[in-house]
Amino acid sequence: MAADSPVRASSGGSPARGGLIDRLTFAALVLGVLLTAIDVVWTFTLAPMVQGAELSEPAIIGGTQVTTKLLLSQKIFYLHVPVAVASFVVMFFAALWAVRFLMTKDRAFDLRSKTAMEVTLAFIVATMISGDLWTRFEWGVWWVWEPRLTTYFILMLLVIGYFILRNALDDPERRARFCAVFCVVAFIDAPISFMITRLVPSSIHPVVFRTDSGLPPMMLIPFLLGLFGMLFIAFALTRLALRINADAQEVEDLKERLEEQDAWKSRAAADAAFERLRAGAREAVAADEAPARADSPDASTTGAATGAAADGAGVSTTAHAEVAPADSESPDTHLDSSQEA
Amino acid sequence: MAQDSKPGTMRVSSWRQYRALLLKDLRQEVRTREMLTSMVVYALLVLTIYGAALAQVGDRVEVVSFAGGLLWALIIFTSLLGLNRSFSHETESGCLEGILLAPVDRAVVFLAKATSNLIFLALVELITVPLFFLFFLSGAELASTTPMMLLPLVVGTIGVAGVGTLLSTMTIDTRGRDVLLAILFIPVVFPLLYACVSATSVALMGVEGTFGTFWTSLALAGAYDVIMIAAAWGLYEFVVDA
Amino acid sequence: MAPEKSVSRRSGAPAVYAHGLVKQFGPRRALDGVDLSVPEGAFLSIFGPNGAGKTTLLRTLALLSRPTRGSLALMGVDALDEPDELRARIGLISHRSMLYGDLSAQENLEFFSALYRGEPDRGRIRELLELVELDHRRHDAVRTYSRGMQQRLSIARALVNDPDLVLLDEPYSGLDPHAAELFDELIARVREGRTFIMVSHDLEKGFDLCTHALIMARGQVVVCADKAGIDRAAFRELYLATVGMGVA
Repeated sequence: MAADSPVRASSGGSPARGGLIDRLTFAALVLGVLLTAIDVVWTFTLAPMVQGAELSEPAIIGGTQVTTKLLLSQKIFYLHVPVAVASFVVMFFAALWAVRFLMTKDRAFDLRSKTAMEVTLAFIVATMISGDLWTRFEWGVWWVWEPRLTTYFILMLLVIGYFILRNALDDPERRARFCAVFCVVAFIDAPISFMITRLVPSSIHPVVFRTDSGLPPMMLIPFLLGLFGMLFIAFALTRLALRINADAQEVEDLKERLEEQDAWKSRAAADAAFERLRAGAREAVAADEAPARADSPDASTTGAATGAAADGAGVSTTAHAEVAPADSESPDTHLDSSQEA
Repeated sequence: MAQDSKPGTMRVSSWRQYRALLLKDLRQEVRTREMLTSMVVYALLVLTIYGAALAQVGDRVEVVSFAGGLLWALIIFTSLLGLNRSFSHETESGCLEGILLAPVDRAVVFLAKATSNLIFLALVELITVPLFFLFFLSGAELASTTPMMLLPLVVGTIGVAGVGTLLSTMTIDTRGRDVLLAILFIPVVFPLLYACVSATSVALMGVEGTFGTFWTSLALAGAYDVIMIAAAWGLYEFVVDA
Repeated sequence: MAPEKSVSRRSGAPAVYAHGLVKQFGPRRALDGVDLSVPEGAFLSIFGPNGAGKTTLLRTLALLSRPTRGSLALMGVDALDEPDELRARIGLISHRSMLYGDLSAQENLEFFSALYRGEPDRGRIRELLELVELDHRRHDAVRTYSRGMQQRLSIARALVNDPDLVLLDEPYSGLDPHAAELFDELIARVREGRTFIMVSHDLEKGFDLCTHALIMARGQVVVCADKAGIDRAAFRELYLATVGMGVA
């Protein structure tokens, strides 16, 4: 999913529009919705009912004995697990882009990582809700500290923490850096969290529900359909969100530029003023050049750009400050260095 | 982060820089006792709250079954307070920048800070853990395996100091840093907390046949330490270097 | 007794040679193609309006911030390849003291000295404390010092590694005139054999001290020249014009 697209973002961080990826986005969305729809229909028509949760033994949870009756609520499995898997896959990409941001310091990757985290949050919330419904109807309680739910709860807190961290930092460069670091930490933390909550047996509830094997085809097929459907949807959502975020960022950038222009009246005038200022500077330097040179022959040259480095002892001018024909009557009153004229 | 990769050149040994950084932290704490005092007082307050919260639990034996959890809640909250303070001296007058100006490996800065945090946490635990036993478990019959709780205590404290150092460096210059550190720190440290509570509870209850759980939990907590501290070590330069 | 430059490491290469330095994140360019060459032994003062990129430039020279693009060589050594070698030869005095308030002057200097050398160089620390005339209070906590004394101590801190290049970031902010004068005197005494680069709002002071002057605006160098070749009044005019237009 969310394929590491070849679309190299421009300096503004906006992905290219209308390319192959964009057309694929729409196709993926349609395909994803279609697959998911088939999954849902299949679930309720063809897939067999399940003997409760596959508890290792009958257990008392929330005061009621969980038996092995036929559970309609198990149907949520066909949506719940694909959503959960998709959320983790999207988060993997968020972490991957975070790492790439840290390697390149290219803002485009920060945008991608953030976007992927947003999609992750959406999927995690969906997972939480569906999982919660499941526990309610299957075990009769709203919440159990069961490995999967716990992991997703922690994951949700991590992702929320990520966004709180984002909001708490003002400097965009720093924000991108810290958030990338935290994204990586969170991504490492999530599987450990799952391992630990799963491997450390708790005395209260039994190890529940293994999905890894033994599903009959009538159940496996809709599950796979749902999984791929959800992955397509995740891909499409990430791309769409990325496009929206890129647009938003571009608007922000433009706003900033506008503000700058406001302060400068207009870009052209500003540039002109800037040029005159430089010219004025050269003039100011040039006017006093002669006496300085007389003092010490190698003392100063408002040298050409290339000479700047070479003449170690004297003036170091910059490439910008080349000697130019002095326009002694600078028209701009603001900048005119009339003092020495 | 190739630490000390060229010992032959003029490079100052990272070990000596580490020692200088660590001694500086310790000396400062000896001078002010800011972190230790505030952490110990805070821990006492949490114990007081526990006292009120458990006032209706008459049976000491019952307390034993969740004492591990209570103890770790105390440690996590207290360490949050200390971690928040640990960088305040560094940023007060730009000292962290002064350190970064020097040719110091960034990972060394991390390790030194994590070590000093670990030492302070350990000192605080030295006071608060016995107090916890005194207040809540003095009447209970302690299992003979109780001393084994020191193992998860050590492993857990190392992890808390390592992860906390990375996260508190990130939150130090942010708005509302106290809350932010808690928001980032608690979910990240959750797996460690879970494993340590499990191991501590097994040790305190000392039920025959549950010690498999103890060692599993301890091993997982250790794995968490290794992975997270390695990650923090590697990521630290991205946090401090612009 | 004053801590002179121990070994002259004159290499003939310019103290700073920067080409096309850009520091950019998103659309914002803190540095927008800065070319700069500062000869060894010079005192360069950098002026410019707020947000012109002066501090970013100084932080880049202090190797605290990596440029997005461009090349930078300090004392003839590539700063992007060999930052650690150069860090040992750079000192920074900022408006923040970078000193631990709860430690004494002696302990502060010993700490920073140990960071550079592994072991504190006690002989040099004594010399530096005498130089900045804080010898008599070496064992008092820095917190109890006046702002002027702290700033003098921060000179000692910056010189603890005997740097070839000393960077000053608004060193006068918060100093009263007398303290500023003392500060200048000290700088003059340690001037020998070192290159200084100062960012300052104080045009008069900055211009008095410098051998070269530079004006920045919008992340670019407007002018950079030898003081001998600059008419003071004209420069002042130019500076004011830049400040007037540069406020973005």
